[in-house]
Amino acid sequence: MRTKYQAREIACLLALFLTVLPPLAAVLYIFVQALPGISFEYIFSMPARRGIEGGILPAIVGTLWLMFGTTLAVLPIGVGAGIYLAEFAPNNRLTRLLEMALVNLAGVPSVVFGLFGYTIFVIMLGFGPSILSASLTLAALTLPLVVTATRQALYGVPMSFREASLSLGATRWQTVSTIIMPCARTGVVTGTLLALARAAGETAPILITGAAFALPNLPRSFMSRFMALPYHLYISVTQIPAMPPERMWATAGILLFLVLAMQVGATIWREQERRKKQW
Amino acid sequence: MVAVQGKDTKIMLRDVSIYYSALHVIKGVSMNFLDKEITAIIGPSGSGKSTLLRSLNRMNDHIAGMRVEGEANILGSNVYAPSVDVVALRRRVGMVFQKPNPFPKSIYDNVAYGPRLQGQKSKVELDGIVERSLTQAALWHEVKDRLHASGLALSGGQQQRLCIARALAVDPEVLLMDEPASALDPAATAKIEDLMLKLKEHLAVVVVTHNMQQAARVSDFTAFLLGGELVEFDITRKIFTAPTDKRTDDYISGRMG
Ligand SMILES: Nc1ncnc2c1ncn2[C@@H]1O[C@H](COP(=O)(O)OP(=O)(O)OP(=O)(O)O)[C@@H](O)[C@H]1O
Ligand SMILES: [Mg+2]
Repeated sequence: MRTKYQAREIACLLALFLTVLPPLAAVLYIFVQALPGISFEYIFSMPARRGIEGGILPAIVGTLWLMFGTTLAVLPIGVGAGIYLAEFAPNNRLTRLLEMALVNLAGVPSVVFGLFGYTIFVIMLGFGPSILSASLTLAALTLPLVVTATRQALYGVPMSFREASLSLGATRWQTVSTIIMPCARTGVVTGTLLALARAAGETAPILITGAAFALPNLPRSFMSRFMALPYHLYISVTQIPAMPPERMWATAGILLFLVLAMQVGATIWREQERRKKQW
Repeated sequence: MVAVQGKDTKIMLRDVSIYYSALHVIKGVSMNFLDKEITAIIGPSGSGKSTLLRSLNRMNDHIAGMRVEGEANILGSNVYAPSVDVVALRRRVGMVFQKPNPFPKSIYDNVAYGPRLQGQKSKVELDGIVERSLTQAALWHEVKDRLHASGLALSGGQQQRLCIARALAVDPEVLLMDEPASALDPAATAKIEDLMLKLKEHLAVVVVTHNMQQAARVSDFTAFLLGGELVEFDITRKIFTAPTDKRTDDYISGRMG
């Protein structure tokens, strides 16, 4: 009997290794491959000859612009919706319908969000192919993640804090803004960072909403077209046969570094805050 | 049953029934709570003590299916009238909970929370309120040198007194306490009981307790609730020495849950 259980335990451990090791190896491999192509010039100069020479500064800056624009759009809407669902929504059929829509929204393929963004922001609202259109598209993509992270963070705040606050004559809104949100802050911020990390690596949503392969200038405003790391990589690999491989690896390495930095940073910060928290 | 009455009736319940959807939890309770007196509510688990207490400052409003019938008057106005400002009501009827629940904020900010909600910004005023409330709650001397330390760094008994100070800071006329000492050790419990006796000099105190000795020691009036019915309500000494109803007798002498 005993060995039978042990065998199952070992099988599960093996499954865990199969889950963790290949991606870890892939990440390491990419970094190793990327290293020769990364230089000061590659990071800080403009592309030349359709990206075959020069650097990818506009792609790095473009991705940062996108992150900034996405944050501006997703934070107030996502946190607002999360607060409404967790703190104010009546427990009725409409609320449950909205929650279900939210869950399913998170499963919609990102290319569909791209088409949605193209139709709504680029064409209907007339924002054209721009950082604005792409940011809003990425915001739509990440909204369910931010709403869910906010709700989870709010549910984690003990009911007794709400009761204490209400019993002192606070309105529900005062309770949320002065007690609940400060307690839930860490969860909201880390959730948003993780969502942004996801958005940073997306290609499909920006494909038709404003990304360009090579631009001679840095973006000047939210209405500019832009370069972005994932799109640059995608085109380099599929459309530019003359692209030296180490330059593609370098792009991949920089993108991966950016995304991992956000994820690891968010996780470390969350753990630190968790240790500090007293309730 | 003696209809407890006095010149200063703070709360008057007339035939109050409370339902959770189909569940009839409080069954036609009529009683008065007097100013500057401590009224204890005793009864076995599930008899509706918390439900009755929480109906007085409408802390059960958020529960779907909760319904109150009859009349609950606090200082002459019906608590459940549609026009009642719940927020204003809760400022006049404070509450202390079973488990100490200070906010994860400093001792000072915990006490100043209520006054700040009401727009009090003056540092001088707030300092005064904080000192006065903590003194009333018999906590001032223990914490006066660390007002900016976290309220959660205090012991359980101190936390509960902090919660009492926090409730007192908004100057309520009635203080509702739901088993305020049940999570505390005997020494901390004794402090809370002393405190209650001091508090009643200023306001009406209603306390739910499972502890017979506590009810006998601190309260002036005692209400015995059983299955949502008010079995007996009288002067505490009378309830504990010569109860009229056999069920009361059984309960206080430990012959019932
Ligand atoms: N939110 C609720 N929804 C439905 N029923 C409830 C709810 N809260 C309490 N009840 C029911 O109402 C009855 C009275 O509960 P209440 O909490 O008022 O009792 P209590 O006298 O305070 O008990 P205890 O001494 O255990 O605290 C119980 O039968 C309980 O199951
Ligand atoms: Mg109770």
